Amino acid sequence: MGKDIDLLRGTLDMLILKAVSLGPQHGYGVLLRIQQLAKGNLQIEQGSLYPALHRLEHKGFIEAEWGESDNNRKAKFYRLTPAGKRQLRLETESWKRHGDMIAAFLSAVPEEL
Amino acid sequence: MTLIARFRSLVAGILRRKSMESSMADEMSFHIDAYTRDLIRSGVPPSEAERRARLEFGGIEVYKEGCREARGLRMLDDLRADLRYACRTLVKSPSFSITAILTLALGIGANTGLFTMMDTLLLRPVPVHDPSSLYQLFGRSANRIKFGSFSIREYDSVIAGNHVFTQVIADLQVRARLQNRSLGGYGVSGNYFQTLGGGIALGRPILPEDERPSAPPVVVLSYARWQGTFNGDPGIVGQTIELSGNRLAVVGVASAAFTGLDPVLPEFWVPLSAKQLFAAGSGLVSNEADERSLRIIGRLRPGVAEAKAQSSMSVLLPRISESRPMAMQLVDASLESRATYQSWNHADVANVLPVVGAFALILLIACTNLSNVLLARALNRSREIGVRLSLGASRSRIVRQLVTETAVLSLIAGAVGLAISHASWTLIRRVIVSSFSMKSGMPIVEINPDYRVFIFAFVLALATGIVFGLVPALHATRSTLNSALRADGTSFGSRFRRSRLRDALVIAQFAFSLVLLIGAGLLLHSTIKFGSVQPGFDVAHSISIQLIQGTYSPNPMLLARLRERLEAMSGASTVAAAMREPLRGSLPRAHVSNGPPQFRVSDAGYNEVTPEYFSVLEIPFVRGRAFAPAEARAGAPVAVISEATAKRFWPGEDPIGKTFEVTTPEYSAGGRELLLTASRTVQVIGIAKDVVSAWLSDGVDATCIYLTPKAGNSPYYSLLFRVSGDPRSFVPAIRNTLASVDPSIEFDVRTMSEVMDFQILPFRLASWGAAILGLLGLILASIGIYGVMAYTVSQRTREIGIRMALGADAPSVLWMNLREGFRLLTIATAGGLVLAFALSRIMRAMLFGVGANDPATFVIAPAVLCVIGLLAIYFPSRKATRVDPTVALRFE
Repeated sequence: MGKDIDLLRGTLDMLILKAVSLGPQHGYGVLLRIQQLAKGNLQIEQGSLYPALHRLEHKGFIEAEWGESDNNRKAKFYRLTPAGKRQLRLETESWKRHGDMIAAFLSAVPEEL
Repeated sequence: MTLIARFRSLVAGILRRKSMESSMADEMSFHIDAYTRDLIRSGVPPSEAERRARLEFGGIEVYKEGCREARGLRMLDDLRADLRYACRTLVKSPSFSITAILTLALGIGANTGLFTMMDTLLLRPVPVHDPSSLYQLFGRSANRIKFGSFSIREYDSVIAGNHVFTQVIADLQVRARLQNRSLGGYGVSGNYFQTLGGGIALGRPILPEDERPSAPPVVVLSYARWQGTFNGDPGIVGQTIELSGNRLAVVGVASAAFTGLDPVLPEFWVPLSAKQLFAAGSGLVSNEADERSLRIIGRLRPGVAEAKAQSSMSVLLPRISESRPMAMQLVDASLESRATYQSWNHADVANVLPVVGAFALILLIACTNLSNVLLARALNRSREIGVRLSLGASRSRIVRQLVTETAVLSLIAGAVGLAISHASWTLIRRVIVSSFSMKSGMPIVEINPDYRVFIFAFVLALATGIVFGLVPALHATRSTLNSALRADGTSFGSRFRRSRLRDALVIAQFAFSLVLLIGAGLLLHSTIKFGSVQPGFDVAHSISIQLIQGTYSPNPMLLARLRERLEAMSGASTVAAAMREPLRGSLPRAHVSNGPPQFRVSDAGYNEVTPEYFSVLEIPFVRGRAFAPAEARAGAPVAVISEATAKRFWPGEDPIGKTFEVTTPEYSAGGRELLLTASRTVQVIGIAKDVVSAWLSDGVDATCIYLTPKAGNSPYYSLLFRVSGDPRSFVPAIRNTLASVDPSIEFDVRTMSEVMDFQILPFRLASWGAAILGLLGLILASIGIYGVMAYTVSQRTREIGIRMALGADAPSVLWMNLREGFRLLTIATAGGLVLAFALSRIMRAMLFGVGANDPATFVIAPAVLCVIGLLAIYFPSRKATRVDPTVALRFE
């Protein structure tokens, strides 16, 4: 488990972008969605989500708006901006390339050399 | 790409900080509430749920700080805290703060003052409409002489013949008297105000129709003159005033902001056609239209390049100057931008370089001194810094805080420096205005700081603060990391570490001070040499009377009348007239060719004098005689030459009775313009002793030929008056006598010794200024080395105690400490000498009779430096010998 977190800590920003891209969501919702998508394999310290959200907002990848939550409480909803959409696409591509490269690397067998 | 977004977010964060903070808190509490509810729903007891939610969320404040950092607000928070801390620290040690601020303020103030002047003259746009398209027209003759003055006729031809200027204006300076007050103003072309966008406070400007010969004479007053002489009378427009005895109708008052193209404040403007009213004519040129006295400035047509305009004018100027005498016909043109008061050229750079260098050095010394003091402070705070480092503060954070402290200090110093610079300019301007009887006679524009000066002072202050604060801060945080927490960094057993940085700073201070001292010494030596120059004539009993050009129309009758009146005064002995009186500028040059056999042509200085010239100034004759009065009256072809001239033209021969041809130039009223040349053959009748006729700094004349006045007249005549007794008491009486002849003529009456003192004055001021700068630097450097030595001794107290306990005697301890100081002094002196050798050549133009590597200065200045430096190291070293071993070993 610990290993998983280490691997994924650097990609928290990407996970958030992906979560938000599925529809506007408040911070707690983002957390739930990430956990849901990761099928429980991922443990994030809950509070650490917020500096990341603010960082993304600062960079202009997401924007925030106050709205009503399911149980009629005021909550801050985050939405992907066009810049965020571009960033997500870039990161997805680079992640895929990375993954393919590593997969190819690790599946190498002596005959191929 | 995200830069704009980041910037917008940062600004929003700063401006809406409160709402951002509360929204952050709301957001997190919403998260905890929502999670709590979910936990309860999944069966956790409510009392337990909230605790768990908070626990799993983590430290709210830590994450809030994380959010602030993510938004870039953290830096600002730190900065604010640092600023508050810095102000508290500075207030807590006021004597340190005040000394540091004053030291730096002097350095910054001096440099800001210098920059203010350069800004006014070189950078600031001239306050007229679109100055960047204004160009002044110059022409060059075949022998590369530059001509900047044109006649009315030539001006008209330039207007008619050019295709590169949209507007062409012409102006010249004129003087006039208004209610017994002498005013400086401009004669301007009719389109002057329209072209320059000259603002008008009242009435109308001077217009093209005012130039018509039939137009009534009009004048536009400056705002200051209107307020001053006419108390801002709103009915002034339409009134008639009397300027130098001519009646002119006031048609308008210029706005206060309009000063024209020069860094002076004109007091009135008249049309060009009115200038003959002020008798500025030279009388040499009969035709008014041919007198060359106008400055021509054009506004470049949009889209026309300067180079193209220049080549176009180079075609036009030779054509329109065809009617000039041969030597003055123009072959090409050059344009000079009038966007600023002065345009850069290499000669100016060479002149200001030593001054800029000296000012920069003082700032450097002030900064190194401050750096040294800061370093000592930082080392004293090493315990505090060490504690903070070990508690987890990052080094960069502490450095940032220390630098903030210096930056605050230097910014305050910058503000004080700006005030010092402004105050000194106000003072200097007042001194200049009151003590110089300038020929243009117009007050210079106010030298006020503008935004560039503020930026300069701000950047200078901030840069010095950061650079000279960073070095000690880095140093202090490095050295304390490991040693500070131990009870005493220098306790017995731990190695004593000298601070190399402090040594380097002290060496730099001394070296810079030595450079300044040598500069001061060179100037001082020049002043001594200058003061001992013998002009070769008697300065004690003569008075020089100069007629101010433009206030009189020269004619032989006037001069004769003035001489008659002066000679009638009681106590007067002799009155002489001369084209140039001595010590008021270089002699004009004449071509001399001494006889057909050799047919050698060369240049020589010459003067036209009456016979009395030699007796008034008591210039002795080596051989021969002076002119006879009859010869002078008739303009006889005879000449007296100086001894040096005789040696030069007739080496080893007797020049008496020899003849030579002399070709003398004639200049326009302004003295700027060559009008025509005339040749005559003269016979040498006497040889006079060498004297100083030009500036005192030019030394004894290399050549000087005294000629009789030509028939007709010359506008240059000044009078020399010999009295018995103290000439100073005669000055008021002379003024009265002169005024009784014609009150509208202005005179500059001064005793010859005043004239001479006035020339030594700049040298004296410069050497005093340099000496003060040098001493200031030396004092700062001495304080620096004293501090270093005192610190070293205090740090080594225990070591010294042990040495003494083991049997070292006082002299050997003293010597051990002195040696350290010697080492620093020796390196500094050597470095300073090398630097001074390299730099002193830029001062060459300011020196007189002294080489840039004057041996006396290069020996005395380091000697002075060493003596003072030795005193500064002796006292702290002696303290070391008084260390009591028993006390020292119990130290701390």
